[in-house]
Amino acid sequence: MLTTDTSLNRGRRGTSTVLGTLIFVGILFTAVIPMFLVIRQADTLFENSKHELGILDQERRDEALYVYIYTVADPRSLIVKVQNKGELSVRIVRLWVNDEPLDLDYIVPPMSDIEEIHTYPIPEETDSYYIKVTTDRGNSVAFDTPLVWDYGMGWTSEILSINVLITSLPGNIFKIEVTGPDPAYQETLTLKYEPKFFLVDVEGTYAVTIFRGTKEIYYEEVTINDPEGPLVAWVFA
Amino acid sequence: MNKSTSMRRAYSPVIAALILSAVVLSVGGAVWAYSQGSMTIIAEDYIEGINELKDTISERFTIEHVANTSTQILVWIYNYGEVAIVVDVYVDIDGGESNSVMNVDVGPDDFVEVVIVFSAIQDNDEVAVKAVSRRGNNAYYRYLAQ
Repeated sequence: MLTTDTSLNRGRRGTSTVLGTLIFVGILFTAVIPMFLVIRQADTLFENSKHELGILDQERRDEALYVYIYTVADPRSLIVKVQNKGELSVRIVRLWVNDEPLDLDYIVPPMSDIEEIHTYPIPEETDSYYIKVTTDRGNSVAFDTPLVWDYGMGWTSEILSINVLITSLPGNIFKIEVTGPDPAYQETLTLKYEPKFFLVDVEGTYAVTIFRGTKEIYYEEVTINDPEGPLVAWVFA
Repeated sequence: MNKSTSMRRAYSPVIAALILSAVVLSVGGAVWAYSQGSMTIIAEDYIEGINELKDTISERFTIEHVANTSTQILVWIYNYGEVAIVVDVYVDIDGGESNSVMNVDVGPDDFVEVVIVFSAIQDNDEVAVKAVSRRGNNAYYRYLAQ
Protein backbone atom coordinates (compact mmCIF):
# COMPACT_ATOMS: atom_id res chain seq x y z
CA MET A 1 0.00 0.00 0.00
CA LEU A 2 2.78 2.36 0.91
CA THR A 3 4.63 1.46 -2.32
CA THR A 4 1.56 2.20 -4.42
CA ASP A 5 1.14 5.61 -2.77
CA THR A 6 4.75 6.57 -3.40
CA SER A 7 4.61 5.70 -7.10
CA LEU A 8 1.37 7.64 -7.50
CA ASN A 9 2.90 10.74 -5.86
CA ARG A 10 6.01 10.56 -8.01
CA GLY A 11 3.91 10.34 -11.17
CA ARG A 12 1.83 13.36 -10.29
CA ARG A 13 4.83 15.47 -9.31
CA GLY A 14 6.38 14.60 -12.69
CA THR A 15 3.46 16.04 -14.67
CA SER A 16 4.07 19.63 -13.62
CA THR A 17 7.83 19.21 -14.05
CA VAL A 18 7.32 17.92 -17.58
CA LEU A 19 4.91 20.77 -18.31
CA GLY A 20 7.39 23.30 -16.91
CA THR A 21 10.18 21.85 -19.03
CA LEU A 22 7.96 21.89 -22.11
CA ILE A 23 7.10 25.54 -21.51
CA PHE A 24 10.78 26.40 -21.02
CA VAL A 25 11.72 24.62 -24.25
CA GLY A 26 8.78 26.29 -25.97
CA ILE A 27 9.95 29.74 -24.84
CA LEU A 28 13.46 28.91 -25.98
CA PHE A 29 12.39 27.83 -29.45
CA THR A 30 9.60 30.33 -30.10
CA ALA A 31 10.99 33.50 -28.52
CA VAL A 32 14.68 33.46 -27.67
CA ILE A 33 16.16 31.60 -30.62
CA PRO A 34 14.04 33.49 -33.24
CA MET A 35 15.13 36.75 -31.62
CA PHE A 36 18.79 35.80 -31.89
CA LEU A 37 18.27 34.72 -35.50
CA VAL A 38 16.59 38.01 -36.39
CA ILE A 39 19.36 40.00 -34.67
CA ARG A 40 21.97 37.93 -36.46
CA GLN A 41 20.26 38.54 -39.80
CA ALA A 42 20.10 42.30 -39.12
CA ASP A 43 23.82 42.26 -38.28
CA THR A 44 24.57 40.41 -41.51
CA LEU A 45 22.56 42.90 -43.58
CA PHE A 46 24.36 45.78 -41.83
CA GLU A 47 27.75 44.27 -42.57
CA ASN A 48 26.72 43.80 -46.21
CA SER A 49 25.69 47.45 -46.41
CA LYS A 50 29.00 48.54 -44.88
CA HIS A 51 30.87 46.43 -47.40
CA GLU A 52 28.89 47.87 -50.33
CA LEU A 53 29.44 51.43 -49.07
CA GLY A 54 33.14 50.71 -48.74
CA ILE A 55 33.21 49.63 -52.38
CA LEU A 56 31.33 52.78 -53.44
CA ASP A 57 33.79 54.97 -51.50
CA GLN A 58 36.70 53.17 -53.11
CA GLU A 59 35.14 53.69 -56.54
CA ARG A 60 34.75 57.37 -55.73
CA ARG A 61 38.44 57.62 -54.86
CA ASP A 62 39.41 55.73 -58.02
CA GLU A 63 37.64 58.07 -60.41
CA ALA A 64 40.19 59.63 -62.76
CA LEU A 65 38.34 62.18 -64.84
CA TYR A 66 40.05 65.09 -66.62
CA VAL A 67 38.32 68.12 -68.04
CA TYR A 68 39.59 70.12 -70.98
CA ILE A 69 38.10 73.29 -72.34
CA TYR A 70 38.49 74.33 -75.94
CA THR A 71 37.45 77.74 -77.05
CA VAL A 72 35.72 78.85 -80.22
CA ALA A 73 35.60 82.51 -81.18
CA ASP A 74 32.81 82.35 -83.75
CA PRO A 75 30.22 81.55 -82.55
CA ARG A 76 31.59 82.51 -79.20
CA SER A 77 31.48 79.35 -77.14
CA LEU A 78 33.26 76.90 -74.90
CA ILE A 79 33.63 73.27 -75.89
CA VAL A 80 33.84 71.03 -72.85
CA LYS A 81 35.71 67.78 -73.33
CA VAL A 82 36.49 65.07 -70.81
CA GLN A 83 38.74 62.06 -70.61
CA ASN A 84 38.26 59.16 -68.21
CA LYS A 85 41.63 57.58 -67.41
CA GLY A 86 40.21 55.37 -64.69
CA GLU A 87 39.00 51.78 -64.73
CA LEU A 88 35.36 52.64 -63.98
CA SER A 89 32.80 54.37 -66.11
CA VAL A 90 31.91 57.85 -64.88
CA ARG A 91 28.51 59.50 -65.08
CA ILE A 92 28.63 63.28 -65.31
CA VAL A 93 25.54 64.86 -63.77
CA ARG A 94 26.37 68.54 -63.86
CA LEU A 95 28.46 71.13 -65.63
CA TRP A 96 29.34 74.38 -63.89
CA VAL A 97 30.20 77.48 -65.86
CA ASN A 98 31.20 79.98 -63.22
CA ASP A 99 28.28 79.87 -60.76
CA GLU A 100 25.70 78.50 -63.13
CA PRO A 101 24.87 74.77 -62.89
CA LEU A 102 23.72 72.93 -65.96
CA ASP A 103 22.24 69.44 -65.65
CA LEU A 104 23.88 66.77 -67.78
CA ASP A 105 23.59 63.02 -68.02
CA TYR A 106 26.67 61.77 -69.82
CA ILE A 107 28.47 58.50 -69.21
CA VAL A 108 32.17 58.39 -69.98
CA PRO A 109 33.48 54.85 -70.52
CA PRO A 110 36.65 53.74 -68.74
CA MET A 111 40.04 54.42 -70.38
CA SER A 112 38.34 56.68 -72.89
CA ASP A 113 39.73 59.08 -75.44
CA ILE A 114 38.97 62.77 -75.08
CA GLU A 115 35.23 63.15 -75.68
CA GLU A 116 33.19 66.26 -76.26
CA ILE A 117 30.28 66.45 -73.84
CA HIS A 118 28.90 69.93 -74.27
CA THR A 119 29.11 73.19 -76.19
CA TYR A 120 28.33 76.21 -74.09
CA PRO A 121 27.41 79.47 -75.82
CA ILE A 122 28.88 82.43 -74.00
CA PRO A 123 26.81 85.53 -73.41
CA GLU A 124 28.48 88.79 -74.32
CA GLU A 125 28.49 90.31 -70.87
CA THR A 126 30.60 87.64 -69.17
CA ASP A 127 34.35 87.81 -69.35
CA SER A 128 36.01 85.19 -67.20
CA TYR A 129 35.15 81.48 -67.00
CA TYR A 130 35.65 78.80 -64.42
CA ILE A 131 34.57 75.33 -65.55
CA LYS A 132 33.80 72.33 -63.39
CA VAL A 133 31.95 69.04 -63.81
CA THR A 134 30.34 66.92 -61.09
CA THR A 135 30.00 63.15 -61.22
CA ASP A 136 27.26 61.03 -59.68
CA ARG A 137 29.79 59.71 -57.15
CA GLY A 138 30.08 63.25 -55.77
CA ASN A 139 33.45 64.21 -57.24
CA SER A 140 33.93 67.64 -58.76
CA VAL A 141 36.63 68.07 -61.37
CA ALA A 142 37.62 71.57 -62.41
CA PHE A 143 39.42 72.81 -65.45
CA ASP A 144 41.94 74.74 -63.46
CA THR A 145 43.02 77.27 -66.02
CA PRO A 146 40.71 80.30 -65.96
CA LEU A 147 39.66 81.37 -69.43
CA VAL A 148 39.24 84.98 -70.37
CA TRP A 149 37.55 86.49 -73.38
CA ASP A 150 39.59 89.41 -74.66
CA TYR A 151 37.75 91.67 -77.09
CA GLY A 152 40.89 92.32 -79.08
CA MET A 153 42.54 88.89 -78.99
CA GLY A 154 39.60 86.52 -78.58
CA TRP A 155 39.99 83.68 -76.11
CA THR A 156 43.04 83.77 -73.90
CA SER A 157 44.14 81.99 -70.80
CA GLU A 158 45.84 83.46 -67.80
CA ILE A 159 48.28 80.58 -67.55
CA LEU A 160 49.75 77.80 -69.65
CA SER A 161 50.99 74.83 -67.72
CA ILE A 162 52.66 71.44 -67.99
CA ASN A 163 51.52 69.15 -65.20
CA VAL A 164 53.49 66.02 -64.36
CA LEU A 165 52.26 63.15 -62.21
CA ILE A 166 54.41 60.07 -61.56
CA THR A 167 52.45 56.98 -60.58
CA SER A 168 53.96 53.94 -62.25
CA LEU A 169 57.71 54.53 -62.49
CA PRO A 170 59.80 52.53 -60.00
CA GLY A 171 61.25 54.57 -57.15
CA ASN A 172 60.08 57.30 -54.75
CA ILE A 173 62.08 60.46 -55.45
CA PHE A 174 62.51 61.81 -58.96
CA LYS A 175 63.89 64.84 -60.72
CA ILE A 176 61.83 66.38 -63.50
CA GLU A 177 63.37 68.58 -66.20
CA VAL A 178 61.31 70.61 -68.64
CA THR A 179 62.93 72.23 -71.64
CA GLY A 180 61.28 74.15 -74.43
CA PRO A 181 60.65 77.52 -76.00
CA ASP A 182 59.98 79.31 -72.74
CA PRO A 183 61.50 79.18 -70.29
CA ALA A 184 64.60 77.46 -71.57
CA TYR A 185 64.92 75.18 -68.57
CA GLN A 186 62.98 74.26 -65.40
CA GLU A 187 63.70 71.47 -62.97
CA THR A 188 62.30 70.25 -59.69
CA LEU A 189 62.36 67.27 -57.37
CA THR A 190 59.16 65.36 -56.77
CA LEU A 191 57.77 62.37 -54.96
CA LYS A 192 55.68 59.60 -56.42
CA TYR A 193 51.96 60.56 -56.62
CA GLU A 194 52.83 64.25 -56.05
CA PRO A 195 51.71 66.37 -59.02
CA LYS A 196 54.09 69.09 -60.18
CA PHE A 197 53.11 72.11 -62.25
CA PHE A 198 55.43 73.98 -64.62
CA LEU A 199 54.05 77.33 -65.72
CA VAL A 200 55.16 78.58 -69.12
CA ASP A 201 54.42 81.74 -71.03
CA VAL A 202 54.32 80.71 -74.66
CA GLU A 203 52.76 77.87 -76.59
CA GLY A 204 54.94 75.26 -78.23
CA THR A 205 56.48 71.84 -77.76
CA TYR A 206 58.23 71.09 -74.48
CA ALA A 207 60.37 68.10 -73.54
CA VAL A 208 59.72 66.49 -70.17
CA THR A 209 62.50 64.25 -68.84
CA ILE A 210 62.32 62.31 -65.60
CA PHE A 211 65.42 61.11 -63.75
CA ARG A 212 65.85 58.74 -60.86
CA GLY A 213 69.20 59.75 -59.39
CA THR A 214 71.24 60.58 -62.46
CA LYS A 215 69.61 57.98 -64.67
CA GLU A 216 67.05 59.12 -67.23
CA ILE A 217 64.01 56.84 -66.96
CA TYR A 218 61.29 58.69 -68.88
CA TYR A 219 61.02 61.14 -71.76
CA GLU A 220 57.98 62.70 -73.38
CA GLU A 221 57.26 65.68 -75.59
CA VAL A 222 54.09 67.66 -75.01
CA THR A 223 52.58 70.46 -77.02
CA ILE A 224 50.69 73.38 -75.63
CA ASN A 225 48.74 74.81 -78.47
CA ASP A 226 46.50 77.71 -77.63
CA PRO A 227 43.75 78.16 -78.82
CA GLU A 228 43.45 74.94 -80.86
CA GLY A 229 44.82 72.51 -78.32
CA PRO A 230 44.94 72.17 -74.56
CA LEU A 231 46.26 75.01 -72.44
CA VAL A 232 47.35 72.53 -69.82
CA ALA A 233 49.35 69.49 -70.90
CA TRP A 234 49.50 66.48 -68.60
CA VAL A 235 52.34 63.96 -68.44
CA PHE A 236 51.57 60.70 -66.68
CA ALA A 237 54.61 58.56 -66.05
CA MET B 1 -12.83 0.30 6.27
CA ASN B 2 -9.24 0.42 5.22
CA LYS B 3 -10.20 0.19 1.57
CA SER B 4 -12.66 3.06 1.74
CA THR B 5 -10.13 5.20 3.62
CA SER B 6 -7.42 4.59 0.98
CA MET B 7 -9.88 5.47 -1.82
CA ARG B 8 -10.79 8.71 -0.08
CA ARG B 9 -7.17 9.55 0.37
CA ALA B 10 -6.48 9.18 -3.38
CA TYR B 11 -8.51 12.26 -4.38
CA SER B 12 -6.39 14.93 -2.77
CA PRO B 13 -3.10 14.03 -4.56
CA VAL B 14 -4.96 13.99 -7.85
CA ILE B 15 -6.51 17.36 -7.14
CA ALA B 16 -3.16 18.66 -5.96
CA ALA B 17 -1.51 17.46 -9.16
CA LEU B 18 -4.24 19.06 -11.23
CA ILE B 19 -3.92 22.33 -9.34
CA LEU B 20 -0.12 22.22 -9.67
CA SER B 21 -0.38 21.54 -13.37
CA ALA B 22 -2.90 24.34 -13.78
CA VAL B 23 -0.60 26.71 -11.91
CA VAL B 24 2.39 25.63 -14.00
CA LEU B 25 0.40 26.01 -17.20
CA SER B 26 -1.00 29.41 -16.31
CA VAL B 27 2.26 30.83 -14.96
CA GLY B 28 4.24 29.19 -17.78
CA GLY B 29 1.78 30.47 -20.37
CA ALA B 30 2.05 33.98 -18.95
CA VAL B 31 5.85 33.79 -18.95
CA TRP B 32 5.77 32.41 -22.50
CA ALA B 33 3.50 35.24 -23.69
CA TYR B 34 5.61 37.84 -21.89
CA SER B 35 8.81 36.36 -23.31
CA GLN B 36 7.47 36.38 -26.84
CA GLY B 37 6.27 39.95 -26.49
CA SER B 38 9.47 41.22 -24.95
CA MET B 39 11.70 39.32 -27.38
CA THR B 40 9.71 40.73 -30.30
CA ILE B 41 10.10 44.23 -28.90
CA ILE B 42 13.82 43.72 -28.29
CA ALA B 43 14.31 42.39 -31.84
CA GLU B 44 12.29 45.25 -33.37
CA ASP B 45 14.24 47.84 -31.36
CA TYR B 46 17.50 46.27 -32.42
CA ILE B 47 16.46 46.23 -36.09
CA GLU B 48 15.32 49.83 -35.85
CA GLY B 49 18.65 50.79 -34.31
CA ILE B 50 20.52 48.91 -37.01
CA ASN B 51 18.46 50.63 -39.73
CA GLU B 52 19.17 54.04 -38.22
CA LEU B 53 22.86 53.22 -38.03
CA LYS B 54 22.75 51.99 -41.63
CA ASP B 55 21.13 55.26 -42.74
CA THR B 56 23.80 57.18 -40.81
CA ILE B 57 26.69 55.42 -42.48
CA SER B 58 24.92 55.52 -45.85
CA GLU B 59 24.70 59.30 -45.92
CA ARG B 60 26.81 60.74 -48.70
CA PHE B 61 26.67 64.45 -49.40
CA THR B 62 29.04 67.19 -50.40
CA ILE B 63 29.15 70.95 -50.66
CA GLU B 64 29.45 71.04 -54.41
CA HIS B 65 29.82 74.75 -55.01
CA VAL B 66 29.85 78.06 -53.17
CA ALA B 67 29.35 81.51 -54.64
CA ASN B 68 28.54 84.95 -53.33
CA THR B 69 26.89 88.25 -54.08
CA SER B 70 27.46 91.43 -52.10
CA THR B 71 25.05 90.28 -49.36
CA GLN B 72 24.53 86.57 -49.90
CA ILE B 73 26.51 83.36 -49.74
CA LEU B 74 25.08 80.70 -52.05
CA VAL B 75 25.79 77.09 -51.15
CA TRP B 76 24.91 74.12 -53.33
CA ILE B 77 24.62 70.79 -51.56
CA TYR B 78 24.59 67.52 -53.49
CA ASN B 79 23.25 64.34 -51.88
CA TYR B 80 24.83 61.53 -53.89
CA GLY B 81 23.80 58.86 -51.40
CA GLU B 82 20.73 56.67 -51.25
CA VAL B 83 19.05 58.14 -48.17
CA ALA B 84 17.31 61.47 -47.74
CA ILE B 85 19.06 63.92 -45.45
CA VAL B 86 18.23 67.02 -43.44
CA VAL B 87 21.15 69.42 -43.10
CA ASP B 88 21.93 72.60 -41.21
CA VAL B 89 24.28 74.94 -43.06
CA TYR B 90 26.62 77.18 -41.07
CA VAL B 91 28.60 79.96 -42.74
CA ASP B 92 31.33 81.89 -40.99
CA ILE B 93 33.13 84.84 -42.55
CA ASP B 94 36.62 85.03 -41.07
CA GLY B 95 36.71 88.04 -38.74
CA GLY B 96 33.12 88.91 -39.58
CA GLU B 97 29.59 87.66 -39.32
CA SER B 98 28.26 84.14 -38.91
CA ASN B 99 24.90 82.90 -40.04
CA SER B 100 23.09 79.63 -40.64
CA VAL B 101 20.14 78.01 -42.34
CA MET B 102 18.50 75.05 -40.64
CA ASN B 103 16.42 72.09 -41.80
CA VAL B 104 17.35 71.88 -45.45
CA ASP B 105 15.83 68.72 -46.96
CA VAL B 106 17.91 67.05 -49.63
CA GLY B 107 16.51 63.89 -51.20
CA PRO B 108 18.61 61.06 -52.61
CA ASP B 109 20.48 62.11 -55.77
CA ASP B 110 19.14 65.63 -55.22
CA PHE B 111 20.89 68.96 -55.40
CA VAL B 112 19.72 72.09 -53.58
CA GLU B 113 20.79 75.70 -53.38
CA VAL B 114 20.89 77.35 -49.96
CA VAL B 115 21.02 81.13 -49.62
CA ILE B 116 22.52 82.67 -46.48
CA VAL B 117 22.11 86.40 -46.06
CA PHE B 118 24.73 88.72 -44.58
CA SER B 119 24.86 92.46 -44.13
CA ALA B 120 27.93 92.83 -46.39
CA ILE B 121 30.49 90.58 -48.03
CA GLN B 122 33.80 92.02 -49.17
CA ASP B 123 36.10 90.73 -51.90
CA ASN B 124 38.66 88.23 -50.55
CA ASP B 125 36.70 87.56 -47.39
CA GLU B 126 37.57 84.04 -46.27
CA VAL B 127 34.39 82.04 -45.84
CA ALA B 128 34.09 78.73 -44.01
CA VAL B 129 31.02 76.68 -44.86
CA LYS B 130 29.93 73.66 -42.86
CA ALA B 131 26.94 71.43 -43.53
CA VAL B 132 25.88 69.16 -40.68
CA SER B 133 23.31 66.45 -41.20
CA ARG B 134 20.82 65.56 -38.50
CA ARG B 135 22.48 62.16 -38.29
CA GLY B 136 25.75 63.84 -37.39
CA ASN B 137 27.74 63.73 -40.64
CA ASN B 138 29.64 66.81 -41.83
CA ALA B 139 30.89 68.41 -45.02
CA TYR B 140 33.25 71.40 -45.14
CA TYR B 141 34.19 73.97 -47.76
CA ARG B 142 36.50 76.97 -47.66
CA TYR B 143 35.90 79.76 -50.07
CA LEU B 144 37.34 83.14 -50.97
CA ALA B 145 34.64 85.71 -51.68
CA GLN B 146 34.86 87.42 -55.07
